[in-house]
Amino acid sequence: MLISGRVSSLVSLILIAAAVLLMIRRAKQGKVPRIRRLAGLDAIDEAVGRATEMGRPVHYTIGWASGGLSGSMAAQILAGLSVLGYVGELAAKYGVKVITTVSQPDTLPLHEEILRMAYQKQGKPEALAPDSVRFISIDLYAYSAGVLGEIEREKPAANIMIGPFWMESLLFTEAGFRQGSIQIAGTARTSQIPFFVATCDYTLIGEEIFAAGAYLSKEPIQIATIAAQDMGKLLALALLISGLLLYAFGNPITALIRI
Amino acid sequence: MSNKEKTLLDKLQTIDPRIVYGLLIVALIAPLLSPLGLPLKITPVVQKFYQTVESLKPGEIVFYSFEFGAGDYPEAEGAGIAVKRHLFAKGVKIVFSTTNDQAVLVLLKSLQSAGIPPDKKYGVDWAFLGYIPGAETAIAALATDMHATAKTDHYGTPIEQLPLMKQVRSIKDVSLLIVEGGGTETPTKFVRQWYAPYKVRYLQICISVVGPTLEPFVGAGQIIAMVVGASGGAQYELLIKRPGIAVAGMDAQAFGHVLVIMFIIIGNAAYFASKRGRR
Amino acid sequence: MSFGTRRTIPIIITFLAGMVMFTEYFFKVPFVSDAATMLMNFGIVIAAFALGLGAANLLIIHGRHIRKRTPRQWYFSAWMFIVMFAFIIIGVGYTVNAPAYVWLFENTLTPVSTTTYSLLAFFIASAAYRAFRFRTSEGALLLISGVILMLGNIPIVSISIPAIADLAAWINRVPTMAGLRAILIGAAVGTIVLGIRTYLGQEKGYMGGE
Repeated sequence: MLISGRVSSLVSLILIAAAVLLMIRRAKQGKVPRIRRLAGLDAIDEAVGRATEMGRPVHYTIGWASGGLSGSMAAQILAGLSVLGYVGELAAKYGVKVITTVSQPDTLPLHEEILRMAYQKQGKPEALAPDSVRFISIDLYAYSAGVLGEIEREKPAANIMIGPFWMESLLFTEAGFRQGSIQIAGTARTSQIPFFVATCDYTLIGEEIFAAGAYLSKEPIQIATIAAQDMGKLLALALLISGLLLYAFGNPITALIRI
Repeated sequence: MSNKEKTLLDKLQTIDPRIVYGLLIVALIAPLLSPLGLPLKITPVVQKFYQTVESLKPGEIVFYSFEFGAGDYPEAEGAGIAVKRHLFAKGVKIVFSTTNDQAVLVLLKSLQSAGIPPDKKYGVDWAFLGYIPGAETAIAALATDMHATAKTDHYGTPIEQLPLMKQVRSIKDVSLLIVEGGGTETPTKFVRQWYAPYKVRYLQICISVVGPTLEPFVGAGQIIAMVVGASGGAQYELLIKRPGIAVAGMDAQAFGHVLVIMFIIIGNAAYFASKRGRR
Repeated sequence: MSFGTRRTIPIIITFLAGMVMFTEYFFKVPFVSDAATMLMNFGIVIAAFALGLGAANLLIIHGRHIRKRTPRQWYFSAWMFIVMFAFIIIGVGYTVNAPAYVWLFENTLTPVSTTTYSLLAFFIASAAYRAFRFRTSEGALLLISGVILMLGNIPIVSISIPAIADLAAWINRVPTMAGLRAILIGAAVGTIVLGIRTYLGQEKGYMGGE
């Protein structure tokens, strides 16, 4: 019944799911964990405010990933989309234009719906510009060149990039720097994190982007799931240390990991 | 400190990027026009890649997945060409395929640049299964049954008609897997679908930005060795004693690195000098 | 359709699809495997149709630029249409193996893609010059490790001073790999928790919030 080689993965998944359910239950009982500040997410308000003062738009993009929502970067795409709604609501509230550039055509309807809902929530559905959502290209280099052009022409005061990014990360941050934009970026693609850290004002590293939606929602239940993430990491740490000790003492049980 | 000196220090901390770009263009082009032939060190990991290919016996099957698109391919072009030349020289049989639709034309160009020896017959010594859609599903399916996954080759010939493919049905018939390109995702998929269940020997060619991300797989023994970027390609070209475009680019790379380090030093020196001046 | 239904139906579909894929990955159940394959095929078909959506978006936005003669923009939009239709007509009419398509690919898309990628060399130089400063302890660490790695990549330096090459290799093999592994583990756990939140209907950001 169970496929061999995947039992340990299943057990880990069940333990993490149990942690999530436990933290949700505790949150419903009023025991909401305290989460440290994520400077990058807190800075979104500042960034959109700055754009409003300067009368320049906000640029938002979730990056490029082969396979789109069907690919291995789907989780990062969803993480990026979960922040777009927040940015859209702020933009609607302050009356500043938001431009979102899209590389994955299967996320295009999601971008449009998210922004439409955001503006509707602020009671300003008519304020959403018809060209706010701009599909560029599914090809990485065409998308990179297109977004560079958009940034040069639109001169955004805030450049927010959260999602899976490939080599376009540095291109966008340099273009944003040349326009004097405040830059907030986040990705779980390890090869691009150093570029963001070096060139952006605020960076979300790795797992922080998956917590972004929950963090910005400020809902107790969602915040509780962020704590469950930390419990998952503790589990990974426990496995690491026990594996290390077992290996050091001649490992009869590490064969279990191969189940 | 005088005002004029302060201004100079401030300027050195905020050099116009166009000056940086202009000097970098000169630093990169000059050694390409007039190569210095700077010496190159062969690293252990490239040596290991070379020895793994060298240990292949004539007639063994190599599955070669080519995943580079048009943009980043030039960085690892030297490496790819050198490895293909080495494989053809070893007399092994090579099955090429790709899960990236853009990679098809790039692979054909790469094969043209590598130069397929005239005694190597298509369908007998090498074959190209073409673009196989489905990403990780396709990769998993290829391992189980190549004939069911790729019914025809890139040219439309049913693969049962290719003499080479009569010897290759699944991963069990493959002695070595080489993946060229694919960023960080495709190699991870091959580790999951080819290495983890079947423990196939796996070599990787990648661009330099991807190298550190794939290092954990090399450390864990899932990937035997990697040739990374132009520098890895240059080393491989020297190992097969056919210096090419990668070796030619090494002088330019060296000059480029030196220029960037100089700018970093200038920026920091000016920063410290201006800090001291303000005290 | 009421607001509740608009939210509930996607959540139910997400949960059911997720459970099918979860079951298919961990358990050998014949009919579930077929359902999973069908769902994956749905995804491929949706992605293909989405390309049409993307093309429609391009037509609308760039068509508007051409109609309004947007300054410094409309001629680029016109050029985009010309190139787009050239590729479509030749690719569909003559197949992607036709000499004309191959010529277009090798002489337009390839050089432009390579050029875009090569911009990174210049941007890395300007970014490194700007970012690698001894302002903070983290900045100093970034500066020192970056310079050592760059020096290790210069062949003449790594041959004349092998210690630098060894140090660069150690930085790659030990602290960099440790950090990458930590980020990978954290990202993997984050992905799982995001997935569970999505299955439980707690993650609504991608649907436009609550």
